[in-house]
Amino acid sequence: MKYSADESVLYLDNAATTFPKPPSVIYESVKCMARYCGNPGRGSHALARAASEKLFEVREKLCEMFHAASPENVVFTLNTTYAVNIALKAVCSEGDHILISDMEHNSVLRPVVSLTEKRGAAFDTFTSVGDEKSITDDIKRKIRKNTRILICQHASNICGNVLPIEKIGLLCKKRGIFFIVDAAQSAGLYEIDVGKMNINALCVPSHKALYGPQGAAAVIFSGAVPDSLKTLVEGGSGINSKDIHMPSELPDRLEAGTMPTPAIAGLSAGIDFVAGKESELLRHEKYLSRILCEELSRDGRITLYLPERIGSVVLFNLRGASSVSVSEELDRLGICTRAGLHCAPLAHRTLKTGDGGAVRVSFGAFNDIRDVRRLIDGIYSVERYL
Amino acid sequence: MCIAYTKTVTAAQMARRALALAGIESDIVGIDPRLTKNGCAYGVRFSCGEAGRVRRILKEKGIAYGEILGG
Repeated sequence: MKYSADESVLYLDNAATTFPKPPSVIYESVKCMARYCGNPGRGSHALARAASEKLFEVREKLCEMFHAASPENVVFTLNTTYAVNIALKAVCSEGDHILISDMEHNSVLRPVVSLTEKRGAAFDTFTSVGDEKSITDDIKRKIRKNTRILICQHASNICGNVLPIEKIGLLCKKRGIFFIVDAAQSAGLYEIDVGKMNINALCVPSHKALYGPQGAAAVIFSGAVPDSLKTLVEGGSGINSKDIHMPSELPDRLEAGTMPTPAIAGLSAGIDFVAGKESELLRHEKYLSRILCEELSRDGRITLYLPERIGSVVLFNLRGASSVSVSEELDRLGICTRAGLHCAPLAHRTLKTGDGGAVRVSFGAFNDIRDVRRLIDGIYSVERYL
Repeated sequence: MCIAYTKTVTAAQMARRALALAGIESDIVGIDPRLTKNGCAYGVRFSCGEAGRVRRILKEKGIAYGEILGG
């Protein structure tokens, strides 16, 4: 499965956004803009209906892929950060206690901190690096009487760590805690069943492992939706126009304004690209990560972080060189990696990478073993003059 | 023709899908805002002869609808 837009550039930043996109995704987005991009849910003429149909088709596909109860439970957003904000702020009330993992991205940490400032919420972190029992034991220790929400990532954006979502979900269900999962790095690679895993709200992006375009994402509610979800954004919904408040029904309650139809159309093709192949794609990316880790672990100047947790992402530092300078030098060789803190300072603190963060390599469906060899050669080349 | 007035366009789409599975032809239409309490709305239009079956199917599938207009 090899496809590259530019053979001279080696793209290894798939955790930020997957690239290239499958041709079918590009075709579907362009086809939407060229042929039927009316405003979905706004009017009932042919093009508005066609756009609405495309959105409904993708709601059904996401519903099926993640085993949600109804297409109505699929709420489109602009990106995963919006999805996390919508889910969190829909259910958080004054004085609630929130639990998050110690590996969270700022897309979770910042809205949680904002809720402490604006709604008098409090939060604690639980350990997410360890065996399943140590993680769930720590969560049990941290649960308070007023713990209402637990939100955590499924897979890390900086290393191969994966949380035991099913165990955490069961624990949340028993304690009546609303469970939100940030699946930014896992949707499309790991099997996720919101019902079986007791996930109340699942946040998924279009543009990562679902291979859709940037500009679309979704919150998928499992079915057990609280009666009065608070809105993050208010505006036009295409229905109930005389009412000065947002409609109470999903998905319209949480979908103010025009949805990004071309991105959602591309997502439809992205879902088709990965559906049923999740475990194959994950195995492929793990294989590449393993080869890279095995090679780099022989180099005394290189520190690997959690190399025993093989996933799609490899994190490393070169002793005596900043992560930014290593990534810049690799870029000069045409190799795209990402340095720094990856919007996840909490996670970097947990992994003790230091103030400068680390270099992240993240594989995608279109990478192969030749890419790993080229990266290794690149790292050794950079190592000689840094 | 009759129209089952739904609260959202997504509900109308679910209704149309459910009716199609039962062999009932329908299409999605905008509702005249003068006929609704809160303005713009959507619904599924179908033959009034199927009204009884439509009510039963929508109820069975848990698809919320306001009322059936026309007939």
